Amino acid sequence: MKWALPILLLAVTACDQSPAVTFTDVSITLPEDKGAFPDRPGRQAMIANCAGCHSPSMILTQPRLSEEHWKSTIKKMREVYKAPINPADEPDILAYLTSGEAAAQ
Amino acid sequence: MLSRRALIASGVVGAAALPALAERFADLALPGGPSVRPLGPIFPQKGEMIVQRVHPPLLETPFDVFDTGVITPNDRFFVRWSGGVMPTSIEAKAHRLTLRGAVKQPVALTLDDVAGAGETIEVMAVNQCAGNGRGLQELRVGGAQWAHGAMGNARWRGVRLRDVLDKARVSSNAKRVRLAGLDTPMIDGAPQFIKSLPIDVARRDDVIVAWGMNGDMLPLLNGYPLRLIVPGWFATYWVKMLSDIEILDTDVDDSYFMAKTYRMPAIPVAPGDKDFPTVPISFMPPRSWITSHAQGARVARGRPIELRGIAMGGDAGVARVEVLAGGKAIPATLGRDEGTLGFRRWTLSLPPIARELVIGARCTNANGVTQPDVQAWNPSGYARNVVERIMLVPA
Repeated sequence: MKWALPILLLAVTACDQSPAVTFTDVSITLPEDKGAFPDRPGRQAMIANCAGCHSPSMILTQPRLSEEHWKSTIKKMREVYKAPINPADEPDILAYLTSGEAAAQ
Repeated sequence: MLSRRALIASGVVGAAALPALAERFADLALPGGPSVRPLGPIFPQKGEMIVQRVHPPLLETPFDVFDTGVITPNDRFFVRWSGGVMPTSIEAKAHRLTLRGAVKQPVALTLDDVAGAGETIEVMAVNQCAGNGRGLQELRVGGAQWAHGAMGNARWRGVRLRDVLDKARVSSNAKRVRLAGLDTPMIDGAPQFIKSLPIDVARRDDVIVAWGMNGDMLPLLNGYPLRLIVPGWFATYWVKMLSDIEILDTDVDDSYFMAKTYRMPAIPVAPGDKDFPTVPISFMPPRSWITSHAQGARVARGRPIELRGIAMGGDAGVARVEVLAGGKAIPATLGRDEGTLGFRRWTLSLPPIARELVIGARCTNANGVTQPDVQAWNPSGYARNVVERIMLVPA
């Protein structure tokens, strides 16, 4: 164990000098989203109007919520987040949102 | 046909049963469901996480991680990106942190400039999403349906924000500091995710611009290369991939994520109430959890029950933790204070039980604020801090 002491001293010195942080380039690849909207009426409207910006799971994990809630969410997505939701698809979207796994319970 | 939950309860869920998503699942026991979440896919620089949403990422820390220690490992630390586009690569030399607005000298700092702006310090603090635990409330509301895992505790390393602000010589009439990261809105015209702090909070001794987390660099998903650390305040202010600081000379910030959302009722409200006054959400209340035993855990008859958990004081240190059991409040033993606004370990040896027993942990912080028995309602499901209870079953 004679070699342990010099290594220890070296480590302490390095700490005292407090080496500046080194920022490196970092790049990641996000995983593919394999989640999908289950097949029930309105699915095509969901794919066309909702899936472009976020995963289906954002919707599929929601609890049972009122039609009023979902109407205000569609309004928020359109007016605040500028989502190009086709007004003609809105009844299908609402039907889908209010007929989910949680809504069925 | 078996339901998905029954499959999980029976332990047979696997690639064959649900081939489309992942091989492993977690059941978060959210009242009324849906409760089951995949534990994949695995994200870069991350281990197994509860995947609430792939795009943009919402990753929750599995609860058993909190039993392993007061520090949440970087690869298990929760991830929450708002609805915009998050960059997936950082070129270190090209990154700039700009300071502008009510300043005498606008500047664009390199990462090395930021690191050299002042003394490098380390602060331990809990980072918790304002909506942590939203999915657990009986009266469910929309939003990310988290269980307890939208929180974590880390040692953050960086320089004080005030030292960075001084680089631009902030005007004497500065009122707020507004922060932006590299993430941008998904669609032109949508609001950017920017947040602001009162100048006195921004200049606090423990508010830092961090690059380090638990001895390593921040994972990109947690905000590399720079993240604001605001100990005691909810994570919405801990802006990731920090790239712009605007000094405001007004007390009012009318940007969307300050003025329209992330707000709490200023008065007690009930479900259905409308048009009540609100204020921006800010500091955190105390919380505590039992981590050694899960809901419905079986315990050996005739033997003391060794309970273990974590607590946080919110915007003050942890003063005490009590275990509520059979009408009594039994003081727990606190572990070492490793960082006042971080997690604190607690332990308690509970006498043997002969029948099922509901127990809960209750934290009181150094300001004398105690966790409530009943959660005050707010329409966004923010700031849950009710006493969390589990049932123990003698076996």
